[in-house]
Order: sequence, then structure tokens, then C-alpha cells
Amino acid sequence: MTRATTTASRRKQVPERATARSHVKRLPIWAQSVLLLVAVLAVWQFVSGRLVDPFYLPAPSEIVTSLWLSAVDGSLWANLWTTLQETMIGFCIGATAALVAGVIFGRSPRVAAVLDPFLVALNATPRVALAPLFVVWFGIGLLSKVILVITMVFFIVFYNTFQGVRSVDATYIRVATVMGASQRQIFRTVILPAATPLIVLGLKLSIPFALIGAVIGEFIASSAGLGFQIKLASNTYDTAGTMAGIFVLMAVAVLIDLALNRLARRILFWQPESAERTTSSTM
Amino acid sequence: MSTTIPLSRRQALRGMAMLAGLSLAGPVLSSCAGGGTGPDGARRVRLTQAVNSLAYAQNYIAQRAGFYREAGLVVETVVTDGGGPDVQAVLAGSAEFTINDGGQVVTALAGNRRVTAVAATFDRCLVNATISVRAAQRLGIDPSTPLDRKIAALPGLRIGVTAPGALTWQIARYNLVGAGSDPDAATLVALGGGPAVLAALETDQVDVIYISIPFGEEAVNRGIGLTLIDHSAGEDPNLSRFMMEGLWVTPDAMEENGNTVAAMVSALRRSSDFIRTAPSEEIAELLEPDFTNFGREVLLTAVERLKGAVPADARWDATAQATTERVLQTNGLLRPDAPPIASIVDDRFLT
Repeated sequence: MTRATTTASRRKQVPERATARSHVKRLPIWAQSVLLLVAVLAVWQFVSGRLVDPFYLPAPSEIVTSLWLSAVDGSLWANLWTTLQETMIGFCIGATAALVAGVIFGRSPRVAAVLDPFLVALNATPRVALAPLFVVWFGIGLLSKVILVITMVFFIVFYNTFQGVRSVDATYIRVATVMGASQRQIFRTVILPAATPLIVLGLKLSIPFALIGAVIGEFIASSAGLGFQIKLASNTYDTAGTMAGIFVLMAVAVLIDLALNRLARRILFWQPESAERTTSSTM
Repeated sequence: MSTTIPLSRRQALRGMAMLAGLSLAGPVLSSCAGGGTGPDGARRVRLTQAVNSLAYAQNYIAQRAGFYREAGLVVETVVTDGGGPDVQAVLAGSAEFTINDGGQVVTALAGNRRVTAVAATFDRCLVNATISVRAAQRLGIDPSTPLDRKIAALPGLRIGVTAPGALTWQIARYNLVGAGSDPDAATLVALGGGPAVLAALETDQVDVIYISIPFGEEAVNRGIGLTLIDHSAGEDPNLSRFMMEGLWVTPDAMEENGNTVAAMVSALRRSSDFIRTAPSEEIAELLEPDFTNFGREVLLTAVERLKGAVPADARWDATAQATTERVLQTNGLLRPDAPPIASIVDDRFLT
């Protein structure tokens, strides 16, 4: 083939590729995500057993089979329920405490200045390293996992709330004061709405950490939970089972995130659509 | 005069990627390669073990008594803090040897994945069950209680083990099945390493612990526990012979580095002979630096138990193999495509 013909055929291919790309771009976002997922799974399925030993990288079909088996025998639901309990209790307590603390610190610069070094130090403590101590202090039951989740969630929500409250434009507060609004009214109608996007961001960011906290707690000491299930599979070289557990965790994180997104859309109904999207995409 | 060759963006990127790959590959490859010969001519090898426990006594003794050095070896021991990575490291070639129990290794084998046992270091289960004094009093159990009554008391108790799937977990479940109970219905709490398991018994968070010696013996010594089932003394006849610990290596490494394997086997056998024949005080003294948390009394008790669990010929007999298979089957861990246990034991280095 001469260079001229090659160039000509390349020129012909370019518009075709461009058309295909524009077709893909015209698909809704969710369809593009599904397309990407299908492509990744197809490549993975092909590679496993052909190029990579399935012992190290089991095929997606094996992972689905493992999930199905654990769903049928009920162990998946029992373990999922345990982990969800730990996660949700820890998340609710941690997030509530962080919201209250964040608002107090945001509204009281003096308190914030005094306690800031302590908070920084506490935040720098590796929670994973504390996990075995929590087991010793709080026992091997639910409590040690809940405490671990609280420590994972607290600082993320706290700093976002704190920042949200602090970043309210002072002009709005002054205008509200001039108009005769009480402190409570200012908080309810000015500060809280302005801080909400950052608070929601903090809550969304902390969800995966809450799950991680629960699972780490289960890794350290447990008799049930997704962490227990993953560790059992891992210790018995059941890589498909291990990955199945990990995928369940990912799915749970995505579902909670979706639920929070819906909630955020309701709470932030006044926010322009573009800004809301930016907030969502940042997460 | 020099000429400059213009590079396209793609070529430049490819070159940069190659350079980055090469710069990363060097350190990674050198860190993966455990073997090699040191400047002193000694052969350097890497050995994995799951935890620090007296179940690996031969390894500690071979290091401390210089048996490895005299065999021309420098052995780096990697403790993986739990079963799994220890075998995987050998399968993946990042370690040459693992000292491991049959139950753990056989679970990993299927298809083309093979490791072979070249020497047995213990042929009796060293995982003992210890009950808290309070639970024992509640259930009316004392050292004279017959075994079947003790096993029958297990269902309904909170049982602490090291990790789900670990040998402690397997043996606890095996005993529960022996009690006619569904092991899935029992509360087996995975607690991590020996100290955590011991702490859980001490704080009454569990009623019984399954742990390799000397942790249970430490509980007895502190007055917080009673030995419930002394597997190390062969109390349970169903577990009197077991593929407890042995030296495992891949068949490829066995063929390619036969001399190194032979040297390892020789050093570990010297350790085994030492355990069988030397006075307990001398053995305990050698082990003490690796087990500083235990008093001499506990170590002496544990050493006495080790003595009866070392096979003189460094082999697992047919009973040990059959028992291991039964334990795996009971726990649903024997893969359908797993090789027969007899086929993964090779005694060519024992002559």
C-alpha cells in the first residue's frame, strides 16, 4: 500500500470515529456509565483464566456466582445487616455530633481557636491503629465498631460544617441584623442555608469512611459482618468470595450516596442546578 | 556536528513511559527476589510463617542455635500476621519456603497451584481449647471431666479464635461438629493474634479460646483459664495425629534448588531432634528471646507438650493426612479439584 492510499484511508476513518464518538456522547450519562462498566467487565471476563490465573483475579461470572450462593444461603444478608447496623448507628451519632460541634465552633471563633490544635492532633491520629485499642476498651461487640465509625465520620463532617458556617458572607448577616432578625432567625434563615451545601458534601464524603470503619472493626474482632465474610473468604483463598464482599461494600456505598443525593436535591432545592451538579461531581 | 532527531509527541510519551517503567521495575524486582547468595557464600532464602507461635519452634531454634548458618543458609523469616499471605507468597515466588499446617496449605491448592511438603515439623494438633474459670464453674467442668462432656458443653458458648478460616477456627468447628452441633450456628469470634485472644478470655468477652500453645497455658498459669481440650497431648483421639506444621516449597523450587531445600530440611530436622532430646530447660532458654512475654514456667510447660508432637522421622503418617482431610471436609474447605494430600508430600530430602 502506498503512503498516499494509507493517508486517504486514514482520512476516511477519522470522520467515522468522530461519528461513533458523537453517538456515544449523545447517550445519557447513565447509559455511558453502563457502557463503560460493560466494557470493563467484558475485558475482565476475557482476561481471567486466559492471561491471569483466576486464583488471583477471578472472573466477574465467578464473583456473581459466589454472591448468589451467599445470598441463597442467607449469610450475605445476615452479614450485610450487621455491617449496615454498625455503619448507620456510627454515622448518625458521628454526623450529629460533628454538626453540632461544627456549628458551635463556626459561631464561636474563640472556642475554635482554643480547641483547634487539639482537633488537629486528634484528626491526625490514625484510626486504623486505634481499632485494636477500641476492641480492648469497648469490647468485641457492636460498640467498638460504632465508636470506630464515629471517629471516621466525625472529622469529615465537622470540618465541612465548620467551614460552611464560617464562610457565610458577613454582609447577609449584617443585613439580617439590621432588619431586626434574632440570632436564632439569622442562624435558621441565613447561616444554615448557606452552610448546607458544604454540610451535605461532608455527609456524602463520610459515607464510604463509615463503611470502611465498620469493616476495619470487623477485621479486628468479629463474629459477623461483611468484614468477617471478606476475611473468611480471604483466609480460605476464596478470591471470588473476597471480591464479592468488596463489591457488596461498593454497592452499598453507591446506594447510600444516591439516597443522599436525592435528599440533597430536596434540601438544596433553591440552589441553581449547575451549582448542585458541581457539588455532586466533586464528590 | 550533532544532528537532532525530532520526536513526535507519541514517541516522547512512549520513551518516558518506558523510562518510568524501568526505573520502577528495578527496585520492585529486586525486592521480590528473596533468594541469592550473600558475600559470605551463604544462600539467602525467605521463609514465611503466619504468626509468632511455638508451632514454629524449629525455625526459632534453627536461627538461635545456628543450625541454618551451619547448613550454609541465611534465613529471613517473614511473619504475615495471619494465614493466607504466607502461602500466597510462596505460590507467587516471593518467598521460597513456608512453615505451615496442612489445613491452611491444602485449602490454597487447586488446578496448577502446587506446593509440596518436604518435611513435617509437628504431627499433632497444637491448638488447644482453654475455658475461662468462670465459664468452667458455671458448667461444672474441671480437669477430670470426661472429654465427651467437655465437647458437649461447647455449643452455646462464645468461642474466641484468631481469624475466620484459620486453623484455630477449623479445629473449633471440628469439635463443634463432634458435639453434634451446627458450627455455623455457634458464636465463633475472630479476635486476631494470641495476645488479643488471651485478653478476650481474661475480660470474659469469650468463654473458650482456641489458640496454639503457649497462650492457653499462659491463661492457665495466670489462673484465668482451665485447659478444656489438650490436643497437644492427644486428648481428642480424633485429632491425635494431624498435619500440624511442616516445611513447604513449590515443586519448581524443589527441582531447581534441591541443595537449598535439602539444607533447610537438614537444619529443621536438627531443631526437631533438639526438641525431642534436649532437656526442656535448655529448649526454653533458646526460645525465651522470641517469647519474652511468657514466663519460664509457661515456656517449660509448652516445651513439654511440644516434645510429644515432633515426629522422629519428619513425616506425617497416613492417619495425620486422613485427619487433616477430615477436618477440611468438615469445614467445607476441601476444593473439589484439590490434589490428593498424599500427592503433595515428598520425602526425598528425608533420607
